[in-house]
Amino acid sequence: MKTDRQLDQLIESLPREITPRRDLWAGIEAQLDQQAMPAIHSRHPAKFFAPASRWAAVLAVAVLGVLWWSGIGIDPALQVAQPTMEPALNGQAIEQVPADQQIAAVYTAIKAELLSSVGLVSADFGDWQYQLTLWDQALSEVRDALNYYPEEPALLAQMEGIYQQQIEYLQWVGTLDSGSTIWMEN
Amino acid sequence: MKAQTNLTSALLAGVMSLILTLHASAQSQQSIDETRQVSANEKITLEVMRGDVRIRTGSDNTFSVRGQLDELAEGFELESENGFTRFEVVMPRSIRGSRNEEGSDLEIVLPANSDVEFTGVNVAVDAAGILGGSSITTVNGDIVASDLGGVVALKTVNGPINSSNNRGRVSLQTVNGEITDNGSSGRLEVSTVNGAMDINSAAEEVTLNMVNGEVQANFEGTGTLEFNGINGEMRIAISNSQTPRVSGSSVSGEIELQLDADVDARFDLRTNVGSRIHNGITDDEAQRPQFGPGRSLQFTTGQGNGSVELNTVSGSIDILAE
Repeated sequence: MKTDRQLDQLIESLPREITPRRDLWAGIEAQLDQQAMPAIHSRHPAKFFAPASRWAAVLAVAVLGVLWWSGIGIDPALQVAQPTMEPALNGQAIEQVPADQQIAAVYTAIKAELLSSVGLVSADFGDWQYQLTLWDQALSEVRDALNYYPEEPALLAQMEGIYQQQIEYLQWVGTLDSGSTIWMEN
Repeated sequence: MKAQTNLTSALLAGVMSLILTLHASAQSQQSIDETRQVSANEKITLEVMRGDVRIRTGSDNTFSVRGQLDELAEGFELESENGFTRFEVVMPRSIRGSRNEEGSDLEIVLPANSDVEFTGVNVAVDAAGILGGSSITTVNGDIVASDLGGVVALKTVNGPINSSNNRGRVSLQTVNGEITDNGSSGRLEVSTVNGAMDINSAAEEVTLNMVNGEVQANFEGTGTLEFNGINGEMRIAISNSQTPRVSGSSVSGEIELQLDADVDARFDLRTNVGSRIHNGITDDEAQRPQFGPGRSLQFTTGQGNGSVELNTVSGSIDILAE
């Protein structure tokens, strides 16, 4: 499957200008001269054929466009996949990445963002980082099980549930950081 | 020279005694007795950082607060207009407290259909009878809540939650405390990290989330139950629910689920890493899959109108008939 980079390279390799095979100006000039002359003719045939010729021109442009796209060798699958193309993981298209890795990537990013915004955590939460490792251990167990049963829906749902618990906990931890009143009960 | 030293000492002593007097007066508890006319469905916001607070409902449309303010309080704020009432015990931003200091001791009375939002830190809250919705959040302190209605959210980090006869959309959440719920109805969501759950509920829809604690739950007529645990044991019984829809999981914790003897459901039970499935409902036995170390058990009772899906990574599953 072609990538965006390959597509860019192909576009770059196209010539900037195209010279017609024959001189078109002579025909255009003759048409302009005819329009400048007083029209003494039946208007019906012209009115009838003018829309048809326009449609023919549109059709010709469309056919040329299709030929151009097929001519440069773009994989048709690329055109189908393009609207749903997501950021790839390690260079792979998202649909090729195992579901558990997709879930992990999404939640790891959320976790990292939350952790970066957590300031001085209230002592009321105790060893909150140890608590996070308990979830990480649970996730590790689920991943081990996924090695035996890849893409198992129940395990994937469980994995997502554990991440959500962890995220909710981190959000809660974040609401009680050093930004609020400092309480020091001895 | 000696006279000058004596004068300086006397001045210093005077200043010190003045500071101590001011400090002592600041630390004595101030009484409060305030009443406001409010609407029947007033939106009420309360902030009390330390102490004990009781919230009760009255028969008329008044808001009142009585009792003693925190020793360290700088005063209080009470605003009430346009259907919104806000009460706050104003505290210094930074406190180094001692065990001898008293927090606030307050009783707040408000209309039964009020929508109440309470926030505190080291405070125990006892709320009863509020029907318009209650959001109660503390860090360290017990929450006791009874006969609440509407959207009910009770949340604490280290304190226990004791909920009874609450109805509507009830959410109980703690990190290290224990949660006890009796007689809730409607929708119930309970979540603990390290605490235990002891639940006797008639809620129609229930969600339980637990990390390390233990769950002991008895549900009456519950139609939909979802539970997720990590390490702890979960012992759950559902009675008077012939076609329940149950979805549960654990990582390494044990799951025990007791259902009606005439339960009508499709069962799909699975362990992933060699652990045990015990079937106390039919004679069907768990099978080993062709690949992998797990076990699975599928069977149907009655017409299969309900569903029971249980999954554990390395824990065990027990299903029992009442």
